[in-house]
Amino acid sequence: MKKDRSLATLNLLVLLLLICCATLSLLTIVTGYAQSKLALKQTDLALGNIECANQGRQWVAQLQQEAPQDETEPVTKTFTDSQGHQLTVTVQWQDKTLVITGWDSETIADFNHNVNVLP
Amino acid sequence: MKRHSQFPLMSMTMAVMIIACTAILAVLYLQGRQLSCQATAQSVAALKLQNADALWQKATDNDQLVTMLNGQVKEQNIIVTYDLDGNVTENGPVTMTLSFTRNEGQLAMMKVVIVYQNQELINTSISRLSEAKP
Repeated sequence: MKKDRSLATLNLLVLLLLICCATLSLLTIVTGYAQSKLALKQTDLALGNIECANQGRQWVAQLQQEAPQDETEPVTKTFTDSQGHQLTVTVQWQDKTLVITGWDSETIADFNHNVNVLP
Repeated sequence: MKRHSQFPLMSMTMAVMIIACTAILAVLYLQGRQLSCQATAQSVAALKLQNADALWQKATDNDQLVTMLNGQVKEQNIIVTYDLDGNVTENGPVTMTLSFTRNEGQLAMMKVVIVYQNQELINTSISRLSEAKP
């Protein structure tokens, strides 16, 4: 009878330990999965930024190959990557030099436009 | 008497169950850890790609880029290895290889490949506006 009771206690302890291990394993899997999703989003964003930047630089390089001008109005062009992220580039000729006056990516934080700060 | 004769069987069944459950949980835990490490490596890769892009725009030539990245030159490639915290180390699990590929019009192109334990995380090319000096 005493053996029976001690075995039951041991079984209960082992069961509790297994439940703890199962919870830990489940949490590890869920956290890993969430981290993985987040990291892939981060990579998509980084690759999208690079893709847009490459297009923008290509465009500016093409403009630079044209005949230099003294003064022009700003020219703006928007580039989009395969994920839909956008980059808006503005250039202007100033004294026969092509100057990039705007390089605005929608995926880069911009705190200059009345962003509400939550308390 | 009957209960007494059941003890060895119960113990054996319990032992088998515990071993089986422990094995399953261990596999699940290790898979979770692996997933977590891979995700961390992916994040490090994304950050280091952006960092390499930003530094390459500033660097005057590839030698300066090597210095800025704290990397090594091997067979005309720039190789930088990182640990999972994103620090540069000698034998980190994340390896970034940068190789100057070509001039596309006026643009210099740099191929960036980031690998984590033989698994390719990122493979892309980045351009720069200023004149290329490989």
